[in-house]
Amino acid sequence: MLKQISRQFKQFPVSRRCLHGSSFRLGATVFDMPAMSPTMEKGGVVSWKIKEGEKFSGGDVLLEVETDKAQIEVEAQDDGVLAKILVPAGTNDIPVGKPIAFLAEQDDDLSTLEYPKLEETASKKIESKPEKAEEKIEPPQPKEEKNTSGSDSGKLGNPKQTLLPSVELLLHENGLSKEDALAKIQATGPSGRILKGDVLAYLGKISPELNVKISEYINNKSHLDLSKIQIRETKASEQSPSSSGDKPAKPEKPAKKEPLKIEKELTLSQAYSKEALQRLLTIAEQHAYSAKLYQEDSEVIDPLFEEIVAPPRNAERFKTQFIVTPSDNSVSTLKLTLLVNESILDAKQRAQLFLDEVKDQLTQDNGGVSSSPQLEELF
Amino acid sequence: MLKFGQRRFLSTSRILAQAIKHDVVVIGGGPGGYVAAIKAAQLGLDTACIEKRGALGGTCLNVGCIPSKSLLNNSHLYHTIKHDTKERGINVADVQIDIGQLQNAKEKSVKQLTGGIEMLFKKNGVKYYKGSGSFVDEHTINVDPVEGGDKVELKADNVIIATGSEPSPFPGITVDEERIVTSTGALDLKEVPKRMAIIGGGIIGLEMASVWSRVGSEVTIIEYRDSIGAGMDAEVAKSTQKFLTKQGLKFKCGAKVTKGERVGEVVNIEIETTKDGKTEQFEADVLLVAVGRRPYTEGLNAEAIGLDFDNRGTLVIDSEYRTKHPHIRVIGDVTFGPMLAHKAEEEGIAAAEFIKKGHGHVNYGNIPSVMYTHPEVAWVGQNEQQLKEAGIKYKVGKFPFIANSRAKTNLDTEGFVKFLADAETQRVLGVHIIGPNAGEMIAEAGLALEYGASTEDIARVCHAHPTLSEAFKEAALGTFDKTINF
Repeated sequence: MLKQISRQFKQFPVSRRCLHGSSFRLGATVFDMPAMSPTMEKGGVVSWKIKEGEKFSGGDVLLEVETDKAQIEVEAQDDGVLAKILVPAGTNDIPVGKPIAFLAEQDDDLSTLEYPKLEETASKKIESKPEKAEEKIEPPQPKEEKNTSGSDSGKLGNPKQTLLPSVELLLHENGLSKEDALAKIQATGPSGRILKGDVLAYLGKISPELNVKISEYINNKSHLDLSKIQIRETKASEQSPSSSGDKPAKPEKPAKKEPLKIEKELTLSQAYSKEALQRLLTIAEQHAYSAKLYQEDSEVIDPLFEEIVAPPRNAERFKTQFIVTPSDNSVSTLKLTLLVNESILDAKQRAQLFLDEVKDQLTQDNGGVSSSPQLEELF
Repeated sequence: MLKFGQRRFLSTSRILAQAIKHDVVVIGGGPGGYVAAIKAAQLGLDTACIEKRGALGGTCLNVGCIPSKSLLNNSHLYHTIKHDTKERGINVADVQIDIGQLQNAKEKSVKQLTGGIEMLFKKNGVKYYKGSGSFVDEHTINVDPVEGGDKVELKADNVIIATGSEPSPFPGITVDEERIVTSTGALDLKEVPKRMAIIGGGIIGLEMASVWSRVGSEVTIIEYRDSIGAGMDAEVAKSTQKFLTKQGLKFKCGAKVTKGERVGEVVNIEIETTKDGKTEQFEADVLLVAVGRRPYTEGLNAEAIGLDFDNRGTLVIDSEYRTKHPHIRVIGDVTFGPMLAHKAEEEGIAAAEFIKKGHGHVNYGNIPSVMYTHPEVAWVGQNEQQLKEAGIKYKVGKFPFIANSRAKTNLDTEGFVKFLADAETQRVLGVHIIGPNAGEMIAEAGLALEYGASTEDIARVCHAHPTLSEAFKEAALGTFDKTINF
C-alpha cells in the first residue's frame, strides 16, 4: 500500500522528492518513467547522463527523455545515487510509470541496499488513474518544476488534524471514515492537512496531477525568490587603486557640487590615430549610455519602476577628456579624465561602464585598427 | 534578575572602558527591529536594540502607517459629517476643519504608541541604545549617541539588521519637504494645499490623496502605468479608480513626469503621456513624490565588513536571512520582499527564532496588503493576472456589498469581495476586497490560505448576521455554487 502511494505521487513531475526520506522509503527508491505532460503516455530514454553507481545532486540532469513532442532533460530534485539502471538508453515506448531505475541516498551502501520487488508495484496505479478524457490543460513545463522541494505532496495526512468541513462532508458522502482518509489519502495541505482537492483526487473525481500542481504552485509562492540577485560590485577597487591593478579608477573626494573626477590610465599596446581613439571612445560611450543597469528577468526587480525612476536617457552623465603620453619603447599611455555629473543617479555607474568598455575595446583591438601610427599627430 | 545582571555589567564595563557584550544586537527599532528584539529577549537571549531616530517604531509608527491612519480616519469623519449626514437624519450646522488639531491628534497617537514600545522593551529586558549603529568589524558595533544616549561599543554574537527604507527620490526633482514633499512631508502639512499633485498612484499616493482631498484640496494623481494601485488585481484597481474619481480625485494615467520645479510658492509640473509623448504643464501648491521606497543603510558601514548589496542597494540574504557572515541577519525593507511593516515583523520573529532554535517561518505567499482609502482595498494571495500568467485554471466568486444587509443599513455599499479559487479543488488562491472594512476582513482570507482551505470550507463556516463578513462567505460560495443573496 505504501509503495503504491509513493509511486502514485512520483509519476507526475518526475524526480520531485523521490529521494526524500519520508517514512515509506526503505532501501532503494523506484524511479519511474516520468510523465513530462499530463497527456504523455509513453516515452523513450534517449540517454542516461549519470552512470550507475554515480552520485548526483539536486538540479543535475539524470537522463534525457523523448516524448512524441520533444526531448526533455529530467532533473534530480534532491541529492542521491543512481543505484541501478533498469532501462538502458535507446529504449522506446516505455509507458509512463514503468520503473526505469533504482535510486538511493548518497550515503547508502549500494552493496547491501534492498531493492523493492517490481511486479508487486508495476501495475497497481493504472487502476487508480482516473479517466483523463476531459483534460486539455497545456503541458506543464518541466523546467519550471525545479524548485518544488518544499512540497508536502506524497505524504499521508497528519493524524492529529481536525478535518476541514469540506473534507468531512466529502468523506461522509462517499462512505469513508476519518481513519480511512488518514490511512489512504495523500495530503497536499500545509503540515499534512488533507484538503478537499486531495479527497477529490483520491476519489478519482479530479486528476491527481492537477491537485499536485496547484499545491506545488502555492508552495513555490511561499518563499522569497532569491535566485536572480545581481550583486553590486564593491567600491573598494575604486577607492584603493593599488589593491587591484584591474580598475585603477580613483574618484577624488567629491567636494560639494564639484563634479566627480575619475582618472584612469591605460597602456596602449599599439598606436592609435586621434580619430581612431575618438571613435573608440564614442562607441564606448554609446555602450555605457545604452546598457541596462538592472536585470530584467527577476522577481525582485520591477522594470517599470526602474524605468520611472531612471534619469532621462540622454542627459549628460560625464564629460570625457583624454591625453596620450608617449613613453619609452613605443608604448604610450592613454590618460582618461571623466568629469562625472553626480546629480544624475546612475552617472557613476555608467562612467564605470564606459571605462570598462574602453578597456575591453583596447584589449580586443590588440593588433588591429589604426595603421597610421603617427603619435605626434595626436597633439 | 536578568536586568540586574545587565546593569552591573554595564557599570563595570564603563569603568574598564570595555565593549558591552550582547547575545543579539538589533540595528533599527522599526516594526521589524523592535519585534525581533522583543522576541529574541523572550527567547532568553540578552538583547539590545539600536535606534537613531530618537523614538522607536521606525517609519511605520513615526512617519508612515500610523500617522497616516490617524489623518485618514479623522478626515473621513469630517468628510462624512460634512457631506453625508442629511439623508441619515442628522442635521449639522457648521462643520469646520482645524488642521492644527488634526495634526495634534495624530502626534498624540504616535507619541503614545512609540512610548509604548519603550515600555515593552523595559518589560522584556531589551537594552535600548539611542544612537546610530555602525559596524567596526563583524562582531563589533559602535553606537554614536543621539540626544539622551551614551557612546558605547557593543560586541554581538548575533546581529539583526533592520534599518528599513526611505522614500525613493525622483530624478530631477528636489524635495524640500515644504512644497515638494515625500510621504513624510505630506503627513505634516500645516495647511490644506489648494492644489496638490501626486506622482505615483500606489498605496501611499492614494492614501495621501484621500486625506487632503477630503479636507478640500484639489488633488491630481499622475501615474506612469495605465492603471493605478500597483500590485492590485486589475478589476479591483479599476473599481478603486472609479470610486476615487467619484470622490473628486483626478487621475492622469499613462503619464511620465518630466519636470517638477518649485518657483516661489508654487510647483510647476510638466508631464508627458507615454503613448504619444504629448506634454502638458500645470501648477500645484504641493507636489508629493510617492514612487516607492528604497533600502536605507546610511552610516551602517556594512560595505566595510564585506556585506553584499544588490544593484539597488538591497542587503543580500539567503533563505534564513543570513548575510555573508552567518551571524549577521537582515530583515524588513532593507532586504528583499514587499516593503510592508507586517512582513518585517514576521521576519523579525523568524530571525530571532532562527538564532535561538535554528528554524523560523514566513509564508511569503500569504502577506496581505491593505489600502486605507474609502472604500478600503485589501488583498492577499494571487491576483487574476498572476494566475493567468502561471497557466492556472481558476474560478471567480464575487459578491457586491450592495447585496449585503449590514453595508446596506450603513449606507456604505461600494465595492465587492472577490475570491479566486482553483477550478478543480476550490483551494483558495487569492482574495481581493474593495469595500468597507476590507482591511479587517482580509484576515479571514489569510487564515484560509494558511490552512490550505477551499472556498467550500469558508462557505460552510457560520458567519454572524448581519455583518459585512457575510459578503465574504457568499463570495466564497460563488466560486463553486450559487450565491444565496445575490
